[in-house]
Amino acid sequence: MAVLEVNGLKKIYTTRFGGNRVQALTNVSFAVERGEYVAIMGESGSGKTTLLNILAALDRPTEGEVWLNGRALSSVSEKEIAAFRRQNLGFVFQDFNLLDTFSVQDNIFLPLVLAGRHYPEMNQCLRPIAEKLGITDILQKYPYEISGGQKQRAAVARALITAPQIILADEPTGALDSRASDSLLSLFGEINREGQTILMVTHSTKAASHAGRVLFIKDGVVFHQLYRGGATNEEFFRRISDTLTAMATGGANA
Amino acid sequence: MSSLYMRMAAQNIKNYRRSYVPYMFTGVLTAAVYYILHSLANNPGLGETASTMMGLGVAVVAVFSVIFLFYTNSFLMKQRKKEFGLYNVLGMNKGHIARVIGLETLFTALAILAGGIGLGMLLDKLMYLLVARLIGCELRLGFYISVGSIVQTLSLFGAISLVIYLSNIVRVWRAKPIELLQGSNAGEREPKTKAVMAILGAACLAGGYAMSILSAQEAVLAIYTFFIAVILVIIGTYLLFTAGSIAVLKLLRKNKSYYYKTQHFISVSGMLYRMKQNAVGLANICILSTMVLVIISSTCSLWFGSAELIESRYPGDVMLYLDGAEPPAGFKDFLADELQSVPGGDYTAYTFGEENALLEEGGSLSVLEDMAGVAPTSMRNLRETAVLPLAEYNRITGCAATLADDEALVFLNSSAFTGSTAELYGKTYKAVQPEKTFRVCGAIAANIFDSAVMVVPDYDAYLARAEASYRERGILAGRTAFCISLGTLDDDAQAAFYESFFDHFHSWINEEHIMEVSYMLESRVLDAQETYALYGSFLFMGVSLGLLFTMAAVLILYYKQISEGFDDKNRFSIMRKVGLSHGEVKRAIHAQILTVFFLPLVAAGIHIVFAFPIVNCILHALLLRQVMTFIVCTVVTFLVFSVFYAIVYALTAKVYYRIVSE
Repeated sequence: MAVLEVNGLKKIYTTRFGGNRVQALTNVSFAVERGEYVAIMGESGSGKTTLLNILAALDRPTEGEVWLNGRALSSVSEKEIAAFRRQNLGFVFQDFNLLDTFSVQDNIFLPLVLAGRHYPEMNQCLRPIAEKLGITDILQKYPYEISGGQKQRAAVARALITAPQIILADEPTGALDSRASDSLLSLFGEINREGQTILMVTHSTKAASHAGRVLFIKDGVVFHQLYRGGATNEEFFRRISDTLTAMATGGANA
Repeated sequence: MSSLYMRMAAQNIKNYRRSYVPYMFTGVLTAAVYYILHSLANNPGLGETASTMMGLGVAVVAVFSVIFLFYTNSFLMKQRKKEFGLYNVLGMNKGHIARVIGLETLFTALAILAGGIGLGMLLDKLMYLLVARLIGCELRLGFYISVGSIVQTLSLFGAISLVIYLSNIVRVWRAKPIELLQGSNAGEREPKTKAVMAILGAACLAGGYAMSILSAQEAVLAIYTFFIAVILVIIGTYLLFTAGSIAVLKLLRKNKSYYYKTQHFISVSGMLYRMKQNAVGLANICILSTMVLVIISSTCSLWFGSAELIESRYPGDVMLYLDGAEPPAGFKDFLADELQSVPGGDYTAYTFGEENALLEEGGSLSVLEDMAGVAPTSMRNLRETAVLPLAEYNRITGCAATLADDEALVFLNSSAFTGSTAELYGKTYKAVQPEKTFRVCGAIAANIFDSAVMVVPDYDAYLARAEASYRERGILAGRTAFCISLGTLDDDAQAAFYESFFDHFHSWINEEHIMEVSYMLESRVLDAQETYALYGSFLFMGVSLGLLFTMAAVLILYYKQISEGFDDKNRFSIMRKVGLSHGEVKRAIHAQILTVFFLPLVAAGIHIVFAFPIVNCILHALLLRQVMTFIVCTVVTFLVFSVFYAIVYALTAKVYYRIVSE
């Protein structure tokens, strides 16, 4: 059963005085099954970020519909939307988006606190996740005291702690060095194997090669998609690379 | 090329209007107040007392302008650090940036000077009329422009602008482009708890408050302890705002079931950082507000109380006190002659003795023959005492009181006399409550100590007993008071009568060869003019300086919130991404600004409550005897101040929300 279903998404931005209209998404449709690990690739300006904002309910499409777990996002009222996002979606951002005013632990608690949970309960949720992500030692530290890789792990913990339907990751390796990237990607693979659905937007071939399926977006439409099948990461990396080359040189179908 | 700089400078001021408009507004107002005070100080129509007061005000405003304009300028510059970095990266060298800043400073300075002097000239006449009315002096009509004041204002504010410009240049010069670009992105560390400082702060504050309450009983002590108490409270305020607030917030954070609630979670963690950056600023505002409130409420009380003060100080239009048991022979005829030309002119006279007495703990009043043995600690129990013959009392009050030989009527001017005995030169009387009380002597009532009255049946015997002691001190025992009423004469005629009476009295003394008489002669009208001039200019200075300080206080708050808005923008956008709704963001913002804004006001309110006893005591020493007037003035001042404060809060919250949600 599909956790996420995207149907004919179209997004047109109009500048303030109605002069210029920019079509960010033309017609995007796809579905993500429960337990899947999907990467969306595309160049800058291809509409990746717009798509992610719409999926995150931070923005509304001009046309089309997003279904999360059978519920249309357009049916969620403005008032419920924050709570809805909190309960169903987990976010991992390129620049971590941790708050400097909170310790790592409080940053992870943030969505639960916003949901009105009690401290003992939150603490119980945190233990196994912190253990798994290897951040138990730095829970009392502040974001400015830890490395980029550790920050991103803390952000992942914050996304996981609400047990969301789906994790939306926006260039999660974008601000990390290669060692931290590798370790984060293997972490994503691990939590995906435990059943967590992940949707990752990236333009790093390496990051995409860890996913189970890769969607390519170009000029606001889903241009192509690749399934891993039984391929290893290296084989999948080569196939993604070939597709990107083909797309860049104008080849219509790979 | 130079027109490019002009355009850039103009554009910059326009882009930063959120910061520049309040800056210029303050500048204009400060310059206007400076001009007005300077012009009033040099206005010959106001008299010497008012001019001196205004001159003091000019000095205060000058110092204030320098500090305040520098302070607001540093806010402006901090915001623009990044922009200067960008110019630098884009290829403008520091000389070019200096030129742009120079032009901006020039524009701002011109706006402030033109606006300030223009506004000053417009309001000058109005303020002159207001002050003239307050101090009750004669009005001179006609538009009055003080060239000296214009020159003075131009040179002061021109010089301030120049120095500000130079400091900005130095700031840009010393900065490295990379630092300029990074601006305020340096990570903040969590503030440390300083428990000792917090406890010390609480102790200082408690000490200051205690001094206010304890010394309120003793007017003489109050004036000295006031300054110590003020310093303690200032230190306490700074320590509590800086260390105390952080200690409290950390305690709140330790309480997990309190801390992990949506509203508390965001506000406690936010405030922790807020307080680290803002504690000193908030403490400044708190102290400034307290000062404004105390100054305005006490000057108002003095002004509103002055009419009654004069009334009690001068029982008659002209008061003459002659020493000696009897007035010199022929004096009453002389006085009657003088009053003949005055329609309705009349006088009452009575004799009394003036003594110092100690109000003892048990409640008995005992007259002291010698002040030397009085300990400083019992100074507050001293009562200036008038001793009055029973016949005089009955004549003045119209009562028909009778007293046994060992009885005396005893009453105090400020409170009820609860004691049972009174001692006078070795004789102890039983105290009897009088039917009516009255002020015997304005001069006694004006003393810093409270006064008392003893009415005795054997006045002559008392004089005889006192004579010996008096002769030692070289003065005559007993005194005659003449309360002269000048009927329907208006103020000017009263003053004229006083002048001529004064001269006539002197020549009469010389003619009659009464050289040894010592006397005191006072005119209510002339003294009232002096009192009104003093308290009127007190009030004017209090209100105008108070307004200036208030404006400074709220403007500092405004700037603080704006510059924090830019920092908080990022915080709130992250929270929104993680699942904080618009409504929750708004509530969190309001909770935070509300605390930051009203913490100083609430603290100032508490300071005022605790300052009340000591300030009241000092006003008491300044002869303001109506507590109610002071209470009303304080409450009204506080309310007006709060309304003003709330308006600025609403404006600031709006601008802040717009910045955060941009």
